[in-house]
Amino acid sequence: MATPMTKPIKIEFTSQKEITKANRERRQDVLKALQIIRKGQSEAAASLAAEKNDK
Amino acid sequence: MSDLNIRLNYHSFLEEIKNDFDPIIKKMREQDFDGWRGQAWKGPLKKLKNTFKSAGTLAKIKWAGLPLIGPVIAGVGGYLAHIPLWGMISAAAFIIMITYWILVCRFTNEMASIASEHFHVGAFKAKKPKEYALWAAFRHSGATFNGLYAFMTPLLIDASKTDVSIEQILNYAKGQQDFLQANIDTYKEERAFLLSEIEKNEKYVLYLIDLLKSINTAIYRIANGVMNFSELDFISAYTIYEVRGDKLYKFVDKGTTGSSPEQFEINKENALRYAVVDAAMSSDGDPRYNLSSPGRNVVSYRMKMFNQAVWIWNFHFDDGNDRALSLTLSHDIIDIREVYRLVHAFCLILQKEMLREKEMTQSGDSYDKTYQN
Repeated sequence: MATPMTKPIKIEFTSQKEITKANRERRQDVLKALQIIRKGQSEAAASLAAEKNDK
Repeated sequence: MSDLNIRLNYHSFLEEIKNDFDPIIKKMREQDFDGWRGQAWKGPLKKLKNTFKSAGTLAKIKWAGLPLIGPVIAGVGGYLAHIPLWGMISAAAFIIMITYWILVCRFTNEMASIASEHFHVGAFKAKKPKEYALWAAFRHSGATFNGLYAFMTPLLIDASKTDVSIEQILNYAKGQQDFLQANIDTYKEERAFLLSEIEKNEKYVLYLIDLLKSINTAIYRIANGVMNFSELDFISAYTIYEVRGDKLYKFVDKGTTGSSPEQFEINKENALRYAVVDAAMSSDGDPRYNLSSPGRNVVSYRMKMFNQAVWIWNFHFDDGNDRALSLTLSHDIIDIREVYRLVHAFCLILQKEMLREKEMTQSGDSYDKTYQN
């Protein structure tokens, strides 16, 4: 059987309200992720600095 | 001279002067400016008392029996015997007063001397006002050389400990700076993200306003009885096919390259290749999508029409057409089903008009001619 070249467009939300809510949650998730990434970077930098001081 | 020697010199200097100066400063602070004159007059008397006490042993000496002193006393006594008693008393009183006054002056000078045990700040201020002006700062301040010595000792002697403390402070400040910088960086990233979100939403608002304008125009044209199928391109170029039996027939083609086939066989093989056939065969109502050529999108939507007719609407647009992509494929910001419902609604309106005209003309193939331009 040939590989399908067509695809259905699946819309997971039932209303605009759900899309708006999902967007808000997505934004919150991104902001949290940014803070976690930054915290991780800060801790890594602090640990590196501590190692340098120990040496 | 090394830095350490300089520190030690200063430290020794403070240690020496604190014992000399602090008692004087203490006295200056405790004493007030009044009453020093009374002390000045009483002072010589107290001194004389002490002098007489310490001279007790001298009193036991028989001065007259001493050689040379005895004849002198006898000579002076003989001379004084010729002076009247009142004269002797007056002379003695005068001599005593003058002598005592001289003693008071001398005692006052002692009181005005910083190094003296009889020092009094009132006498000092009165007799040596310029010197007092230099010392006035000490009198009004709470500082002492002993305190200065205690304060400076860690700095001058325990220098290494102080260095560590400064280093700790610097490290703490550096830590705080890094922490704040990290926060600033985070806020910058968050700000950039939120700005991009705002821009994206603004873009969608513009698309929707643009769409709303087109819809308004279309509604006015319907009201004026001039609307036709060629004017539904407010999103992108499009084609419309009608399902007739096992075939799809194109009856509207607006703004495309014109390369879409006039008709399709509705079968599984074509459904794998063409979104329009896939949509025609679907029962779920979801739109279908395929690339007709690299970078060229076709989005097909199955529409149930009046009289059990089935039409397939096809949007045709390039990958670069962000507006069409946003309104037909991307459903992360707006509910794109409303866009499909919109074209469906317009198609129903036009089909209704088409059917009405068909009834009026009783012509079977009227809508192919009426609605294509």
